[in-house]
Amino acid sequence: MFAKLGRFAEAESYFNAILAKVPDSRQALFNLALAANNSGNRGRSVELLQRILQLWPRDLGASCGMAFIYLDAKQNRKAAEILRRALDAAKPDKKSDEPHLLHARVLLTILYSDLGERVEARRFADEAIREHGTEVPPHLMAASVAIEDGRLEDARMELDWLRRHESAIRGNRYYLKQWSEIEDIFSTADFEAQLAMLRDKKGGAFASSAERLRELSELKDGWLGPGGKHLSAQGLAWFVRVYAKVIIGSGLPTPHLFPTPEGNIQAEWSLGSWSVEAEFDHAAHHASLLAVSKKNAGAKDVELNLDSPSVGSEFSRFFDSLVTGG
Amino acid sequence: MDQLTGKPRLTEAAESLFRQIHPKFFVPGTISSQAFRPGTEDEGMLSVSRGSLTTAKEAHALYTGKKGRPSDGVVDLAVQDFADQQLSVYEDPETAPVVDPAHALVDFSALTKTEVKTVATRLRDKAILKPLAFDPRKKLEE
Repeated sequence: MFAKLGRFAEAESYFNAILAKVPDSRQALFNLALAANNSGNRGRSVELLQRILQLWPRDLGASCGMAFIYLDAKQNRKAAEILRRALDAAKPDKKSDEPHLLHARVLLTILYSDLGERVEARRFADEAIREHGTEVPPHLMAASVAIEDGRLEDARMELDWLRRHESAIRGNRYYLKQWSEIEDIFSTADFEAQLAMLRDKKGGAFASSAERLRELSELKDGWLGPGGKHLSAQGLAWFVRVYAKVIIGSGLPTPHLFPTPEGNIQAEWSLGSWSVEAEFDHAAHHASLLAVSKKNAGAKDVELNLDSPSVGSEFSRFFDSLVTGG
Repeated sequence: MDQLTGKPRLTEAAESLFRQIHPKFFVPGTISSQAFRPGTEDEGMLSVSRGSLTTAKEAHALYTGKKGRPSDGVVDLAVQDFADQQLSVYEDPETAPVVDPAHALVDFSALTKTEVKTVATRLRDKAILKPLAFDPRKKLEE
């Protein structure tokens, strides 16, 4: 309680009193180690954790504690060795070890990721998901490792899990911060991947759109003077996927792309006697299509749900109707 | 004088009205239809400058200078072009924060969102048939 309140001196004297009566109290030794570490006395903390490991060599909590101290001291290799030894020796069916097993696997993922050992990082991320799949931290780590590996579909899957469990994350500031950072990194990586795909489509036929989207990605809030929201990397990556599905998929020529004040994209074409525009709303996953005749008072418009499985054919049908007059 | 706006309506059908084009609404060969829609903060009124009181070049200089707004060019539409879309144009001389006696407003306020987009597209299609009334890039080349 004292340690939780940040009253480390009081915590130390409380646990010291317990140790005076029960010198091998695991709980008192462990809590005293935590209090010593939190008050900056790292040497004392290591001493106490080592005492626990002498008494109980397979104590996972103490091993995790030691690993955290080495991680703080930027001795990642040493921290990883301690944790792997502890994990190898752990009894998987020991109920009280479950939180420590989770910490150990997540911590090993972080350590190997920092050490640049991608295979090992992925191994422990996968293991953490397999063994503790209902907890938030393994999914945060797995998403992070997948992005670093360039496995964006795997990262997307993990982020989908996190989005579905948003309520559990919102209650924890640390998880929320990590999640938000991962979403930002993922969006940027995803946008880059989608742009590369667009640039290569049909022998570079859409390279000018990729170039234009890169330019629009640099817009800042207020680009229009008063107003004009920036285009988020997440929104742009989503737009490129939609572009591939409905614009390239419908066999349309390369459109002119413009930002909208709301932070969306508007595609515009001049197709024979029609001026056509499609505004893509990232937040609503929705497109507003409008065709205006250059020859007479004719105009057509349609609203499309871009999540609908039939959106590709609905998009094509709208453009076909301009040619057929339907 | 219009009863709703309280401002004098422009009646000279041939009078030029200059519209500034934001750089992001310009790409080689065309202009976005969005450049011809009032912004969300404009309460359905599109700003233009009256050709009887200023030139395209002067209007651009005032807009990018004292008004501090970006513009990559000026298009020229006549009062009649707006009237063809059932739009009225009103005198709206400004005295503060920048003096702009040529300022005028095109009233889109009675239109639905889709009507605004449709009319803006027709105005754009009309505007791009003519060369820019003032092109600042040409000025740089001279």
